Amino acid sequence: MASEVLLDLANTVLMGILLGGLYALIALGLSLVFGVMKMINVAHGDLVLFGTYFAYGVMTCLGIDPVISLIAGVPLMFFLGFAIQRYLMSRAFGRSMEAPLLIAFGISLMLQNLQQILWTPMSKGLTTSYALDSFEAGGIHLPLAYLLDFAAAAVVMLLLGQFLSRTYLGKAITGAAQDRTAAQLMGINTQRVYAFAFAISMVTAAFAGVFLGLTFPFTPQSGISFLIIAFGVVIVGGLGSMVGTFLGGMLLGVAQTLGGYFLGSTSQMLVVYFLVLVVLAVRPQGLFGR
Amino acid sequence: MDVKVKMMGKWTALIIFLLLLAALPLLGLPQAWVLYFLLFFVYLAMANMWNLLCGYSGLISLCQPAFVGIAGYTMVILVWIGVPFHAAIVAGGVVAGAFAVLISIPVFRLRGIYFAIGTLVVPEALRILFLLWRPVGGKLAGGGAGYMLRGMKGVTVTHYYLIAWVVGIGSLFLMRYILRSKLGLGLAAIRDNDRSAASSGLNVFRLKLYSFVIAAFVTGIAGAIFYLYEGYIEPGGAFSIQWTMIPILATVIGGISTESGPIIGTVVVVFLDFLLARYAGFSMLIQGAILVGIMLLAPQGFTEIARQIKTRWSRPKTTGV
Amino acid sequence: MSEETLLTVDSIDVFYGGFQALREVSLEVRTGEIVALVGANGAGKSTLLNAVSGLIQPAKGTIRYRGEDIAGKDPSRVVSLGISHVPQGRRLFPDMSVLDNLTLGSYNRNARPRMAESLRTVYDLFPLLERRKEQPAKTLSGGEQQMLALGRGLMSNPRLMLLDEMSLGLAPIIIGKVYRALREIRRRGITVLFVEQSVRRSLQEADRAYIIEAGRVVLEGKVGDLREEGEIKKAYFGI
Repeated sequence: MASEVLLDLANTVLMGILLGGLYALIALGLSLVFGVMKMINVAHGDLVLFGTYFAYGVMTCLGIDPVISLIAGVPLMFFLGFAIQRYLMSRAFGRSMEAPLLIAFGISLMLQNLQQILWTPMSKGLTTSYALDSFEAGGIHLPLAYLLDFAAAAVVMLLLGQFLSRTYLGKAITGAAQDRTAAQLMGINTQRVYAFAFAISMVTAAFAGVFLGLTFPFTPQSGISFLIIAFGVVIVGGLGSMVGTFLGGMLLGVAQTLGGYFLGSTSQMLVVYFLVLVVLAVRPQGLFGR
Repeated sequence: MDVKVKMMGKWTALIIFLLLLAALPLLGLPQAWVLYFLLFFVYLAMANMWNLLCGYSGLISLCQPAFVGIAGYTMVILVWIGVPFHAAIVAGGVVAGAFAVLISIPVFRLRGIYFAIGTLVVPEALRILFLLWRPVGGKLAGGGAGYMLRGMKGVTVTHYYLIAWVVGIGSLFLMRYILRSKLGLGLAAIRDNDRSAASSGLNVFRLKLYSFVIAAFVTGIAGAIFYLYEGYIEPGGAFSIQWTMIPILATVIGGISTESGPIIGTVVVVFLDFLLARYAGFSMLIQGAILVGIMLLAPQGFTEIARQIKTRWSRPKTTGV
Repeated sequence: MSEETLLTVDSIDVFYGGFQALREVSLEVRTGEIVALVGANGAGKSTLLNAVSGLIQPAKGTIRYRGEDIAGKDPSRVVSLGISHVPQGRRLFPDMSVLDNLTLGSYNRNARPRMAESLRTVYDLFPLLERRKEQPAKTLSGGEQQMLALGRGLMSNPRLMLLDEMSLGLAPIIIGKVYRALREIRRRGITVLFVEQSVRRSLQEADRAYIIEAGRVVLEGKVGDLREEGEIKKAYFGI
């Protein structure tokens, strides 16, 4: 029946929008690092995954709910991010264009292997009691996890936005992103600012990791697809715009769910990758970028 | 007169060494050794090609797994339907090259890091594609999308070892040739600054394309040889990031943008493989750690370190008795 | 007016890659002075300021500020020592408000406790900035942006201000306003070293001047003396 199909479609699109929130959350850290340091952190996906596995570890060993585990996960990721930027990446910056990329690549590999050793290559999930629930109303049928993801994404993005525009440190970071030389002349120590920016990006990654784990199964190899999604969102949504990131996320989310609807679940990522390549080829500054 | 004799001596020694390497399987050495050398030649070709792309053309390509996978699958499919394996290998390379031309259209609009990630997407997408697509043969017992190599009667290790030898050594000559040709000069100009190169009349796109396609072709052939030896191909391994990782590691260790870099680097990588065979589970961890370490401590790789040691040795001793 | 030397640049060489931008350049600025650096485009004036503020490191020579060698120090360090560099092209944070631009100017730890006070000073000097404090910096006119850049430079509580090509792209009336502000700044006890292309303007506003050509100091001295120089008369009428 036509109305059934329509309802199904609407449901799919709605799920895509919610998923998009999660994708925007994943992309947030990547976007921040790129905006401030003009560098694409190719280890971002694996770092998000690290957050996921950390929550998994806490859940399986201590029985603590993944969202609660963020209390420990956030500071951990903060310091990890600070250290990576301060001690590894900063040394690579002056050298060549490839150097930070290769270091990030190396980190990415180490994380993949580490996770493989600790948790086996088998697919895992952050299965909590509520992760599998769904929300039903008037024929619309949405997994609770997706709603939580969207809510979390909205909250984190709001907080980050406020931090960057209202706190002194946040403004310093924003300034350093807009004009590095000017920031230096203001007395802003760009090294420390970069380390903070990376640390904050890792905090968003911690959140992204937990909510990803609640929503999808993951393996030690999932980092690459997270990176591609994050990159895709940033490319599609355009850099430097939080609204753009959100919209980009939603576009990719809807593309994925519609792809899954028409082509089956194995092919859904193909639609996303295809869209990313198309946008890259046609309008690399993104649909909403400057 | 003396110098000439020395040069002749050096060349003869080199040729004899290479011939020995070629005849390795016939020398009665343990199979495992032969296989490590085979791997060496395969990796050497790939390392040289990555060096061509990144070290000489400024293209940070993460696309190698696509070339390897496509060439591998082409080879397996062709052999399945009865094509002789030499032809199948070459065909694999050709298809990989053609694919490179195809994706150059979207991907060359990107520079630097954007290019890198654009090329990262391609193998991932192919991996999923090949999970779904089964062009020949029926269902594999237990599902999945892997293929066993068929129709390989009468082909021994010696055969594909020799091919690997040809490809590996050939890649060195290819690099040398390219770097001294017009293409090489053009690439050197692009690598340093492709905007100013373009304004001085060089067709940047075409130069990069040549580089990309050549690399795709050779990498594809090397990959096809590998799968000939493996006897089994499946999407996860064929399009795995290891095919990017190994050439990168080899090139970086040996020294990027140098001719001897890939050789030294590949030796180290294969040696490491051999040493860590028991710790297969840790290989990526160690590779990653080495990559990070080298980029921080010796970004120019061994060739640079060796050069520095040489200059320090040949420096005349300072006065002071 | 004290004769204490605030800044001494001693025979510095500065290279951009293979290109030598400054050759054996020496310069002195005494407390309370206004000193001009004059020269054509590409002569090396901005490079000199960049070397002082730490954006670029000289290959040779020293730069002493209040006795301390600052050559090669990180810019954020140099700022907290009391040198404020208002760069060429203003380099404001375009999407941030006037107020944000100003308050960030006090980022360094010596200036931060005085932020409110400095802000008051800047508003007194440039009332228009207070009127437009919530506006994004990019929506200001050229002259207003220059005022903002000056104000931002003042927020770091400097003893010495380095001003690079303030009159770039501005109408003569506005330039006049900017230099009036400069005199006010000196009146408040801040020493100024400014870069200008216009010889006439430099001789009008400064106490002493250095003429730079192709990376070398070719002429220096009190403004009164320089006016009599034959070279200057040529440049004076030529430019």
